[in-house]
Amino acid sequence: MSATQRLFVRQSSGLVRTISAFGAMVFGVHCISLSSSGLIPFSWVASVWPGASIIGVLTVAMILGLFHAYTYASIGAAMPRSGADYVLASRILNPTLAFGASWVLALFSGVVAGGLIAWIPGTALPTLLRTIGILFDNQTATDLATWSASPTGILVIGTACVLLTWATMLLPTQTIVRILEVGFFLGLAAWAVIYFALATASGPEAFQSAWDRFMGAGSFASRIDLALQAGMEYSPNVAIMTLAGLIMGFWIYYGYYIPTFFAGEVKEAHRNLLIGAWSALIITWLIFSAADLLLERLVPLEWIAAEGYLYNNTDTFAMPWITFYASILRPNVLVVGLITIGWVYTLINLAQTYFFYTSRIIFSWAFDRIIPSGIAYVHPRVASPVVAVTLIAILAEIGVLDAATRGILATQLHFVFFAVITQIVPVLAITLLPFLKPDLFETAPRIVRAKLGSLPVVTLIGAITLVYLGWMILASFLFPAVGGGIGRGTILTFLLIFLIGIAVHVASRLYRLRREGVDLAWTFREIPPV
Amino acid sequence: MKLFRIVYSSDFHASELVFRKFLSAGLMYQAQALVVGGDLTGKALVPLIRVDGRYEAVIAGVRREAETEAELKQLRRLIANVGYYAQEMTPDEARYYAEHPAEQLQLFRRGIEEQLTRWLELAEQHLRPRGIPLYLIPGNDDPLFVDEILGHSSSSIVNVDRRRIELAGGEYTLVGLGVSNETPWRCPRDWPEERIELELRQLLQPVPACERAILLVHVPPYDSGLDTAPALDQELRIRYAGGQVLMEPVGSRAVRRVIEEFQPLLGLHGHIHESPGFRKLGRTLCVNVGSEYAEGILRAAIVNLERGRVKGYLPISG
Repeated sequence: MSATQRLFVRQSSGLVRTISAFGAMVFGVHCISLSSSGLIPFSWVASVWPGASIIGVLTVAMILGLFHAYTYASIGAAMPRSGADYVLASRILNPTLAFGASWVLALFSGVVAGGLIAWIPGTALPTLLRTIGILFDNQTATDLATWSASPTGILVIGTACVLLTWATMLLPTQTIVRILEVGFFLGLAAWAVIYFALATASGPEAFQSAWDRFMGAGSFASRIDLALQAGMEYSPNVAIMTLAGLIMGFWIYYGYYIPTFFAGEVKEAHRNLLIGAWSALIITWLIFSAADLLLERLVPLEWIAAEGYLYNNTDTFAMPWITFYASILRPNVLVVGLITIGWVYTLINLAQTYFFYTSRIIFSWAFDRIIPSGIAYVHPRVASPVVAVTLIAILAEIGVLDAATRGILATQLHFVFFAVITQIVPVLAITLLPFLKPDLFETAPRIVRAKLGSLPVVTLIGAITLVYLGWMILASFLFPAVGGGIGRGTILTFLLIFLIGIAVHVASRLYRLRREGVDLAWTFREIPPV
Repeated sequence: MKLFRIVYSSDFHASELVFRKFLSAGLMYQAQALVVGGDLTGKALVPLIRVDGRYEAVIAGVRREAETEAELKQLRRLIANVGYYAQEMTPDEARYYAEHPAEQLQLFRRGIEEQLTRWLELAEQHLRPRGIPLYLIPGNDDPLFVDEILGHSSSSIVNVDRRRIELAGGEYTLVGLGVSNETPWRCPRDWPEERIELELRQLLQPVPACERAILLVHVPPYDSGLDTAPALDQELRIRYAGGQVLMEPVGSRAVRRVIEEFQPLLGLHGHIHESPGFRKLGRTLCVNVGSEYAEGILRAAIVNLERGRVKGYLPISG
């Protein structure tokens, strides 16, 4: 067979789909974020579960992510178009339910984009400015850090960053692509600088002396005792590590699967979505794990946990940031400057990916004519969806306001809870696809129709993903330190937004039926061949 | 005048499943007319290699075998559903055809003629009893010899290429042109822009009420959002930047100029599979339904016309 021709092709047009596996990976890495997620393992994970191996947590979380990524890649492969999750769930389960879930996800993603932008003045800038203040004894930088993290600072700088993100998303696609490209390599460069600083330190004594130089004599030696006195319980065991890993997957890696939301633009979606998502997961796991290996060469895990604990649970001045650790080892303008630029730039990139995928979800609603098609209007000169992007910018500004005032949405903390609940709908759809739509299943790409014995792999992995999602919801209640404390207000907010989505769908269907003579339900109806 | 419903689709590229779904959609949604925007024929032919009394084929990279008649029939159906032609042959014949492009083209011709003839019979069989006409044009990927097959039109199947047809008792005029502007692949019906413009003007000028004309042209108007495709370099490779594919408008400037000048009621287009949508150019609603023929998914549009205007429209897929 190999010696013979397998396919004869005649001369004809060959227009193909768009984003490559590399492109999908770049989007995934940006949405995970080389900056914000890069801080979490060292400043947060280590302090919430003192003693849990950071690499162990990263690994368990990454492995769970592989299952979830497979499920979402299958969703995109089964329905390779914008808003694939909504499109699949609307065709397999119920259009109104699917829209309600998609509505919550898109609205909350827009708001969270603002919450993430607020991270720039709220955490990233203060951390970096304090580093500059400490390293170069610069009071102005320290004062700026304090102002940046204040409600006014968050509002002013956050709004400026929303406007910047909005403006960049209005640029021609080629320019946006270049901005993301630069961000990807700047992010990698920032990590390379961190690696260099950590790897070239001679040993633990060098770190201790650098720390004491900038944080005060004897400071290094006192951190563990201070944390233990404050209540830290250090318990290095595998069970805690696994538990932490089971919880932290979305907090660290959320975003690897976002190309599914624009699967219609991914070339060979059946292959590249999975490659892109898994690559993004594995690459970020490698980056963060390598940093941990290098850091633990210099400081014990207990010390990292203690510094994080002091920052998160006490008023003691603490700097549990990997960027700071690297900066004190190489206290020069170039190192600090490169890290600062890389960190802030990739945070803007992170917001851009949220703007991008949310706009694609909105496209899918507009294409199904649930919302006015004008919302998906693409400007002819810049070829960007100006109305959708502007709407997302408004949502993002609400997110900034919320972050500045610590309002009812508390977007960053509650996003995982909201996102996970909405994901149940499309994940259930792909899990049940082989049974509810056997014809679609049989003609779907191999990733979707693969079987393990007689059991469809999407059903098996979909079920594992559903259990994982269920656990994530439960964990939000069991571990309020992580989930942000899901109270009645949060649940009511979710229900309210969901019900508004349902109302929008029902109203739109009635309008189209009465005014235009078309039933939106036709969009989703199966068409059997004659 | 009462509501006149069109079910429109395009770019089936020989997918048997998609064509059958399209006919079914016309019946399900009680269309008054079915319209097809070209590119009916397939791009590839799969050799069904006879080896030791069984058949082997590779479809989308997956090796498949058939031993019994039933299995062979199923394999043929699978090949047809993704838009390929199947041809039984020995390994020696496969090698021969691989080395002789002219003979290979004859195989394509046989496959195209056989399928198109069967499709027209199928359409006749299902649509004629309901009195639903099927209007179609070829697309740039359709070889010129398909005109002969489409030319055997009956009252219920009409090739509209370079013609004007009255619809709904003369309330609307359907104007067809089954071509595209020049593509890098130099397809059989790639025309220079000047020729497209001239032809469209000649077709539209005699129409008494252009505001009730429906323009059925395979290629969409330039830079309309319905014609966005990957940018290619001179070697026909996709251009990337930062890991992303660069996109650009590739539609016809002539089609755009004509639409902007004559402002027909509706523009029905295909050609660019990855750029489906509905866009207004002035008062003209332009439609490209896109295509997912390889996945066996029908992409179509329902368009309701009433009193000389577009009352409503809806994309459907299934």
